[in-house]
Amino acid sequence: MATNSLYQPKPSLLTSYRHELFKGVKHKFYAFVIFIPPALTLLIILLQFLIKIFGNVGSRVPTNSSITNSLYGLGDKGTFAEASSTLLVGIGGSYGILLIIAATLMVANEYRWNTIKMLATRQPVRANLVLSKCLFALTLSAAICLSFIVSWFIYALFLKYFYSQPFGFTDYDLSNIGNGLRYIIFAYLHNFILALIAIAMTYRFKTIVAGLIFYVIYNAIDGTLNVFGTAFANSGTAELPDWLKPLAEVLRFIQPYLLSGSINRIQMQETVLQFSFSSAGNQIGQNSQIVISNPVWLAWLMLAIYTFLFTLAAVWVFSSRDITD
Amino acid sequence: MQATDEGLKASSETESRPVIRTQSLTKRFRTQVAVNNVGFEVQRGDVFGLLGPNGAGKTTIIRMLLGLVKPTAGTAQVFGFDTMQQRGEVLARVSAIVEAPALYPGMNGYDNLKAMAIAVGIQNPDRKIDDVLGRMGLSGRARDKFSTYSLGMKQRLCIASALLTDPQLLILDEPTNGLDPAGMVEIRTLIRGLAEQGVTVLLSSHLLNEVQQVCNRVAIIQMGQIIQQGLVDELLAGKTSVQIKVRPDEWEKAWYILQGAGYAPRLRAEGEYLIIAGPSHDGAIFNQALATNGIFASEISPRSQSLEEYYLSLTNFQAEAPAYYYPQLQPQPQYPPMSQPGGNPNGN
Repeated sequence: MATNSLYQPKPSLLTSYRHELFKGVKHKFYAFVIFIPPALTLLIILLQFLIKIFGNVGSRVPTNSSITNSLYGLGDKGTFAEASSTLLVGIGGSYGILLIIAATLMVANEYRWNTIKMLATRQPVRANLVLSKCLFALTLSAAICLSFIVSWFIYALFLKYFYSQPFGFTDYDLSNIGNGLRYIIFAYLHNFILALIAIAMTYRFKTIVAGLIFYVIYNAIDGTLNVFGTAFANSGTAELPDWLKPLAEVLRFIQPYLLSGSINRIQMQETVLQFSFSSAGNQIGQNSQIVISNPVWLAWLMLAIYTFLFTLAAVWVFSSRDITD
Repeated sequence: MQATDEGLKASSETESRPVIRTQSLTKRFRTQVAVNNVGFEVQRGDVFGLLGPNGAGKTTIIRMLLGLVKPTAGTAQVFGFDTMQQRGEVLARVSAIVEAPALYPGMNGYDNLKAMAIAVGIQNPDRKIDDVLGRMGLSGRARDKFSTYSLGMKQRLCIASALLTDPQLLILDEPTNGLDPAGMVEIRTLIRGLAEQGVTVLLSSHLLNEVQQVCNRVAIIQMGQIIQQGLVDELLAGKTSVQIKVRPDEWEKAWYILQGAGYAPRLRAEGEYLIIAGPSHDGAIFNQALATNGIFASEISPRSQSLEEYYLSLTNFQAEAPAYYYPQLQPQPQYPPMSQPGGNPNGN
């Protein structure tokens, strides 16, 4: 057969990643995941527009006193604070599950459609097949995050019209924008890292269910340990009964090394509200203990280690096993 | 000049190497031995058939050749490269379809090929895609979703995908599985065409007739082991049988007469014929055996043994009952066993 160098295979990580992107563009589910936030935003805008037209909305600066807004410094007044509460926290916070579903679906479908063997007979380095999917998950995570950011901006600007506010940016708007961006970016970095371990589990068990179950269990355990660890770090263990103190000390010790603990450390601010188990309750400024004891560089290091370990797990699971079905 | 000579020598060595060589290839899944000590060679230009029933180990051998499955023992080389240690060198020269045709169901034919072309790093693949679609007769359906294709079309699109890289070796696992007769002919014609263009083809199948029509060399596998291999022509040389045709209402009786006469291991049914492996001059003996029981054959003729017959004789397959010609099976009649062919069961 006549051969043409133009058609000689030169598979690499880049070609595998481009392959994933091409499939992603053609797969409606991924477009659905990315375009739902702006679609929902437009729907909310439409409803509020009708209220504005037919209702009696006065001119005022909106206020927001939700705990989550306070926790991450998303602001207690201004349209960006209100938009954060509705979109970034309200919808964006739980929307991450769709990224996990998309990531596990991407792997599970290769087994369901039996295309995994075809890919494995075209890409000599199996790790490239896994890494390309991890990169695609990162791309999807970034796209969803961007989708939320754009929607958030549009909604916040609409709210200025809704509350008859001037369209310029106030000082608190600028602060809220900075903290809002930090919140949503790290929320989706968190989701991306969790997607990596979900991908590894899907390679191991070949079904989306396995990836999702592992994600839910891991996230629940990690999140619970972080909440308790953070609370004990903030309020100390002096008020606890003696029998609980050793456990509280363990939780306080491991908290900086948890995935959600590391993400929170980067997201949170020293001066904002944080949960506490102390008799004084939740108070402003109680994060100082964590800020002092958990340096930011440690949080970044832990994120890098989690990303590396979860990716390595996915590569190892796929590379070490026979592809038989 | 010396460098040129060395280059020619290296090229010549590559040319003379077998395309595939396996030695003591073994795969064990926990306690089950799927492939046991398999050794065979495929030469350049061969259309090589791995022949055996379902579960014989054909697909596992193919998976090991492609590096999908790690051998428990032994080695497999493709173009002289180890399939586990030098996968890149192997896969650059090989395209394969393992088991059922599989591409992305939600994408159309053209996009599926484009996805594959991107995956392997083919630059500007559009012309090549049009070319392979044309060769597979799929240009008219290129924009239809893969999920809407018939099985034959899916198989052809997968082969088109395999041809994108101009492979030197094409591996097809059960390529005619599930196809209608027209689809089988298409695939057969395609394989022959590829072989004429210099592509070496390895195919696995349990359809012996298909293999005989398209392969020049075969390896027969049973329970993970190769029990025979060689050129099809050489394997079948001198292998003959006798085919006997009787009246439909006497067919079953004839079957049991011949079985009772001691020919059971060589006897099988094929359509309206009773086939007995053996030299053509045995026809007279069979005729006598039937005639003494009151059955007169309307046709007795010699025939060359097919690969199927050869395979059945190798595996000592014995037909248990005439299954499909006689329309209504009756309870098995009791015919007295015959001590020797041609004997008179009535004692007259």
